[in-house]
Amino acid sequence: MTDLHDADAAEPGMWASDALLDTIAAGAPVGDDRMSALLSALVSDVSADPLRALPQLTEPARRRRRHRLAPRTGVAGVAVVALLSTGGVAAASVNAGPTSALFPLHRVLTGQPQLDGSQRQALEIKDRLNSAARALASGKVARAEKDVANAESRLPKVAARDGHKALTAEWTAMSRQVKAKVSATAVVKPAATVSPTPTHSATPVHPTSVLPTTTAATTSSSVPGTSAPGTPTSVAPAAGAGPTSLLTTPDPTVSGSATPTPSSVPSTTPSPSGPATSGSPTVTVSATPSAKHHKPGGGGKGSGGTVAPGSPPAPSMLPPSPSGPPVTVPPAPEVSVTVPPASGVPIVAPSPSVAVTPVPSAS
Amino acid sequence: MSAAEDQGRALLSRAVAGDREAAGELLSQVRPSLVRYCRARLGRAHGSYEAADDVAQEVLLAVLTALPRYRDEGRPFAAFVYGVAAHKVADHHRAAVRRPVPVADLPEAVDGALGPEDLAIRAADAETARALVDLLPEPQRELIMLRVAAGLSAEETGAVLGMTAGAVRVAQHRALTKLRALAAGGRL
Repeated sequence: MTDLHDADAAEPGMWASDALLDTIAAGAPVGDDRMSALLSALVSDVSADPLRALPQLTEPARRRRRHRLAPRTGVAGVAVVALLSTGGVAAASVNAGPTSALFPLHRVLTGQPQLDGSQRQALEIKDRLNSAARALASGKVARAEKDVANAESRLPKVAARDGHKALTAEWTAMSRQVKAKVSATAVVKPAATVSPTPTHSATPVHPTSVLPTTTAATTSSSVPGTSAPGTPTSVAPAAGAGPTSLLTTPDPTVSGSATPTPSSVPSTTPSPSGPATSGSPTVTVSATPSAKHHKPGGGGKGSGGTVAPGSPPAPSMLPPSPSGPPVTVPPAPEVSVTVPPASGVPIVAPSPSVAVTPVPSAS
Repeated sequence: MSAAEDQGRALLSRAVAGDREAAGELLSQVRPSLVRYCRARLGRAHGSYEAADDVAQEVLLAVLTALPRYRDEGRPFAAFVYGVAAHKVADHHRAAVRRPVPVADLPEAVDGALGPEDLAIRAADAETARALVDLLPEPQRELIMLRVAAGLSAEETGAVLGMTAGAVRVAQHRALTKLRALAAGGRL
């Protein structure tokens, strides 16, 4: 440590300087000395801005936070209680049954931890009915029927206090919907004159009994060479005869068994093999009932091109082929036509296994 | 030893022992002069003493943290505080990055004591004084700041700087003489 014992003798104005510095530090006015004025300005400047508040060290921060949060929590709790009370949610949930959306809140408020048998059955019925509704919406009628039946078996096990009446009404409504859907969805099998499994033979047939036949696009794609491009064809429904065909053969020698009404045809699939015509007033549906192989030339015996229901397959399905082995077409799927309940007009479902041979009515 | 000194030592002992109320009171006593010291040493940054006040706050935090380990060796407590402050100021100078100081509110408050012109003159004079002091050697510069800005007595300044009160008086007299010569000579 430095110590100057002879400072008083060495520095005559030392005490005056010490007093001047004390004056300047205290902020008191000083003389006209430039240096003193500058130091006073410095002291004044550093003392001018107010000090920021000093944090209190006597109170722990943790306790202050707890004091700050407690009122907020209380206010939030009061707000929730007030909201529940004024909104009626609590009151409604007290009486809520197992099928109600407020049932979870009911269990919380009433402290009911377990469901009894009736409540479980009610919940199960609710689930089944919801499942049936979803199945109906997605077109799964069988599944909907199953769910409705399951719900019906559980209905007697639900007590009245668990919403038996409401569940019964809900089940009734769903059951009606399912029945309506079942009745509206009709699976129509092809008539006897329409075969789902055509058998085509490429063997030449008798020219008098077998006429050039135009096949549908689907058939011709599976059996090359069976279509006859350029042959006048007609796609006409067999009115009132259920499923109709897309394969037509203009054969003046074939007698008609159905009279089409072109104006009532809602939808058809035109054949790509030629222009569609509707001038043939009479058509005959011809098809083969099974997938058997046919002997060459055997199909046209005595038939004249007309195939009666249940009769042997007609070889007129194919155009004459000079040579080549018999071609067997694999069985086609069953034809299903859904008839809308309101329109009353059949919808033609294209199928490769159906053929219609129009026959002029002039015969 | 005076009664004030006795009270100060008792307060310091309680603070060191863990009495938070005593620690708060002790720092409250030290803080004003410490802030002035930091402001005098660091000056304004973008017209504000925010940076200097932050340094003063850091000094107080450091002192508060070190209080449990403080050992009274006969020196004034101010010596300990300003020793920490000198290091903090030096750290700030080493950083030497003048960044914009964000403020929460626009400085809309009007200073009723001085007008804008007076404030500008005072700020300019303060800056000139700071520049003059910076021309002094480091021991004299620190001494002047402690005596003028922090308001420490000669004895306290000597305790901080490791000098006797007589040596402080001699040194401050020489420093003032030099400053006076610089101011009269128009060095700035």
